[in-house]
Amino acid sequence: MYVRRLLMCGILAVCAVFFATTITSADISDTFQVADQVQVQLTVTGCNNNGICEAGIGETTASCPLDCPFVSPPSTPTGGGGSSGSSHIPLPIVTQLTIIPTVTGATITWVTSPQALSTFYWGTTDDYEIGVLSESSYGLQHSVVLSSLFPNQAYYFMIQVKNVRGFYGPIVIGSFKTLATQQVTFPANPTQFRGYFQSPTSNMLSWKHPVGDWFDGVRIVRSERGYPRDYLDGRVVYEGFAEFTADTPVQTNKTYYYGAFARNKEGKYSTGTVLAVVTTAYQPQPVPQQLPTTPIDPLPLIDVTFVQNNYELSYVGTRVPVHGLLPLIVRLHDLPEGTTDTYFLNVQNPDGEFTEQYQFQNVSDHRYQEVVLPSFYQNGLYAFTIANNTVSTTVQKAGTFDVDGVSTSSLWWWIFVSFGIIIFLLLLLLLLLFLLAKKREDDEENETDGTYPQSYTHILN
Amino acid sequence: MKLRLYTSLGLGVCLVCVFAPHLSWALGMTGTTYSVQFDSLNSGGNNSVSSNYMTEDTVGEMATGISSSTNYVMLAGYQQMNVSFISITAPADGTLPSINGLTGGSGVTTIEWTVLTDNFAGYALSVKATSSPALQATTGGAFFADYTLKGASPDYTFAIANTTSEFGFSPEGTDIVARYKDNGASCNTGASDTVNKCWDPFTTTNTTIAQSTGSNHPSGTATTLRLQAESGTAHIQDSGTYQATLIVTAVTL
Repeated sequence: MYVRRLLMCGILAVCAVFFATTITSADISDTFQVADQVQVQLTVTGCNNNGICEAGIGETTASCPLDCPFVSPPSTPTGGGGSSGSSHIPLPIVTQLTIIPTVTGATITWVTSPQALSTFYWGTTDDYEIGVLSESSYGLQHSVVLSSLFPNQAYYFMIQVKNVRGFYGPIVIGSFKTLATQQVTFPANPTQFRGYFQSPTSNMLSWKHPVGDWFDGVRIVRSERGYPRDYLDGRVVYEGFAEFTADTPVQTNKTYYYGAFARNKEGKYSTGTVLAVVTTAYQPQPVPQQLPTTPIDPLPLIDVTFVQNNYELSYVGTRVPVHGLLPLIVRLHDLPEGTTDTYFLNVQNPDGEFTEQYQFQNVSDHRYQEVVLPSFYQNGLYAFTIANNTVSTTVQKAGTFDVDGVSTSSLWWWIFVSFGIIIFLLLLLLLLLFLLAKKREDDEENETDGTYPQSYTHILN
Repeated sequence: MKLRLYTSLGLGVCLVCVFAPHLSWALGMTGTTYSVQFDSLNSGGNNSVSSNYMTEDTVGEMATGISSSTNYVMLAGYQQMNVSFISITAPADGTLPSINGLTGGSGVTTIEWTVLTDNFAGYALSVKATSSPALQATTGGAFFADYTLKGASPDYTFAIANTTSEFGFSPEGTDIVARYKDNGASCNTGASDTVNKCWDPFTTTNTTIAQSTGSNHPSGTATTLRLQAESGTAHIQDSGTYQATLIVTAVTL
């Protein structure tokens, strides 16, 4: 009996062991990595600049001008000394070569020792196809100023120097690249620049600020010779953040020319909006702008471009589609070189009530003038003319800005809200009238019957 | 009678508790795709992980521990088994022969790494550059362009235009991947490892150059990276010192 129990217990133990045991496998899902870092070095040899032209290592006039100078036979050595006579004067060496490129030009300077006569070859390829500039006198300091170059263009040059004996030193080869064209844009001008003669000694001027975080004040300049060309052309009448001022004193029966220039936080001024005030004695009235006369070439606007948001606007005929919320840049191209004419842009509002007059400004390094108009305040057709002030103010160009995009949603919202309030008040009034009428009717009925409602009766009882 | 039966059952359970830990065994299992290298039959165990540490414990194995004799040491038990290891040699930096930047020329050098692993699944060896282009002048900004492939596969022969300068590599060794094997005329085909053939450009991402499918313990496997820089005869390369930094990584699979 005891043995049977013991055997049964053993069987139970084995079964329990089988079910209680778990199988564990190694978790080797992790990967391991090792790394090594090495440096690989290479030496590239080039010109050794030892004064010896070593063709065996690849030195050529083009690749190693110091070791392999350009050799030209001495043409007319002064003094007729030939090769033996030149030994007293060393070959000239070019040093301190500096290149200062601009958008449309470059200034190259160098120094030679001893005195030398330099010849400058240059072009857009290493054939130096554009031209040759030769000095007429010997010297130590040399410079060449190149102008009318293309922006963002590579130019190559070679400088050849010879001493007073007529022997050439090592040529110098170089290149440079003109700067890329920069988008020169003036700040937007003030708007609604108005002026009139108010008293015997004052011209009242008013304007509106252009909108933008960049705005940092306005300057009003007065000139008695003509429209101020820029913010420095005349006496400063006002500078600050107000939108009106009085120019005092002024003399009667004179014409004063004013310019309003907005300034940005970088200290750059706008192209200016201008007006003239004639101080007619004791006649305080707005002075009309000097409006242009008959157009002589109003069509087409082939040398005028219109830019918004850095994109040139396309247009048909003389009608220019303009987004009213963006500043508009108007550029006059192909102006005569050295022109001193002042050009104006006159813009008339859709109602024809007034005309804004803006003055074009020269853009440095560019052969065009431009003016920046602020955003428009309403949609519509704005007639414009471009005129200059030569013999008389003569219209050169004319067209129309088709302004769109100025939001009118606020106006419609105001109308909607106002209309809603009116409707609500009317309904309220009608309700009051209805209640009054009903009350009156109930009162009349009570007076006629001589009775009160049952509830009242119950209370009275 | 019932009391005795319960007594017997209790005694049996006690026997289980006492002897169960000693009734365990280990067996490696393999399939067509995967293999379980180490397993253990025991009474319990778990992986425990914290943010900084991880531990794996088992309980219930029989006859575990370290035994040693004059000639042998035995590490018995599941926990005595190591997972795997991998190592890579650290060769010296490489130097390419100098090149004349005016007349052009080429330079070749080799660097060899030996990877050692006991991982049954093998390893993969990859290489990358730390910059693009890989070989750049230490000053001045000049560089050798990364090698330009003629097609999708490595170029069988290093060849560049005479107006350029380029830098590339070719791996050699018994474990190189199929991309760098050749049939005597083309790469990425065949089974040969012809010396100085099958050129690729460096990139800043890892390119696998060698791979194995099993342990190479204890000898390891060497892989040679052949490097070549060339400046064309019609190209003027700025003089100076050029440098490329390469990172070679071996990883267990």
